[in-house]
Amino acid sequence: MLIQIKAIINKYLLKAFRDKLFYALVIAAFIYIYFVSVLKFSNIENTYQFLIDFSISGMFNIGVILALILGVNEVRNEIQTKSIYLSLAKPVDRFTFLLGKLLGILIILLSYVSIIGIELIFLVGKTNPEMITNLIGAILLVFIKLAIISSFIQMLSLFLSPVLNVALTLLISIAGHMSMNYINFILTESYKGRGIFFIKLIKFILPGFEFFSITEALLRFKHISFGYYLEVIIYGILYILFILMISNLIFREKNL
Amino acid sequence: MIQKRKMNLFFFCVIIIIVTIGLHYLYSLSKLDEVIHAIEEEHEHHEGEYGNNKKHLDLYSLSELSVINTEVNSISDVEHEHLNHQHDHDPQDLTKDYAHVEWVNKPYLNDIYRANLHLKGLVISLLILGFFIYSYYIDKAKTFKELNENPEE
Repeated sequence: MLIQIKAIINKYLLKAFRDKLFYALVIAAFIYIYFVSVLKFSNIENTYQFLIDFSISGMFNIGVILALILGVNEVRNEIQTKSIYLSLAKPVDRFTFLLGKLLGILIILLSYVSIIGIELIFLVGKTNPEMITNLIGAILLVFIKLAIISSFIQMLSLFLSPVLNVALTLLISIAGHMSMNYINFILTESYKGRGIFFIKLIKFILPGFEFFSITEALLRFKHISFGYYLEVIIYGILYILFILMISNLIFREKNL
Repeated sequence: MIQKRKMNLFFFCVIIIIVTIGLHYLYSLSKLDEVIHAIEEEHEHHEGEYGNNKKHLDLYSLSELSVINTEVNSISDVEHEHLNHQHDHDPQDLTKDYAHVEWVNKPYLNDIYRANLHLKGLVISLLILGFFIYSYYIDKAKTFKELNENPEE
């Protein structure tokens, strides 16, 4: 099984690294973070807060675009061009195929996050070296968030058109970032119907991206325990595994 | 046959890992009662301080509890002063209040919201376990059916 996964990853990486769009997005993100650190968009004296806030959110947003470009058409194209038969005839079972594709996407996202992360660590390290441990944690959590989004994109690409896939992924990303406090706040203020339970249920089912967002702690120089990172990372991995299993259920029933 | 044994071992290991994670989350959740109990005690203690602002308290009962919980966790003196300062604000000034509630209820500071993460983790690990068992038995049932249909194999 491992050899088969490795072969699928290699095949995918060969194709993906040939695409110039990956390099274009990495360079764009690199320049964006450099500009955020150099330019002053407001009268804020301390540029550290500005840099952290803008660069982490920018890194995530560009990462989502990259994940969408990489994942939205991947399995779909293979089915349409019938090249999937070549892989499945090896023989590779469908779960291995999906897992290999997802791992390929994750390797590309990891290289993107590493390049931008090293730049950010270098920029922050010059002024606030005591926050580097937390910053590495924040970058790692951004990668896990992107991994969850990629698994969602892969799952949705099995039965939705690319446009709908992009729309739903963005919606999931926004709803996932809403904190439970914010939802409680809105509900207390404006809505008293019976739908509250369903709204909370949907929020519970969607990935809790608010747990991955530690930007505010970085801004307030608050150190986070190692245990918290571990819990969130385990949660992220379990969530990815869960989505992968749903994808497998959909894919094994699909007529190719 | 060897391949199948390896797969069974793999499934067994995965199930063990998931059960362990699930039990860990369950254990964390069981400690939640202690946290809530501590908060309630503190809340009774602080009731006098919030008495003048009853409407505000009703609106943000959970948030207020969380504020006290954070005080129990004792972030720092500076932030403590900041919290007290926030309570002096006009209760109608919801924007400022929300920003404050948002910060003190961050899961890495607040045990109640962290328990929410544990609950999610527990539910997901149970679902994955369910999936594993389901797919294992479905595969087994399919093989059994195929064997019944083609007994020569």
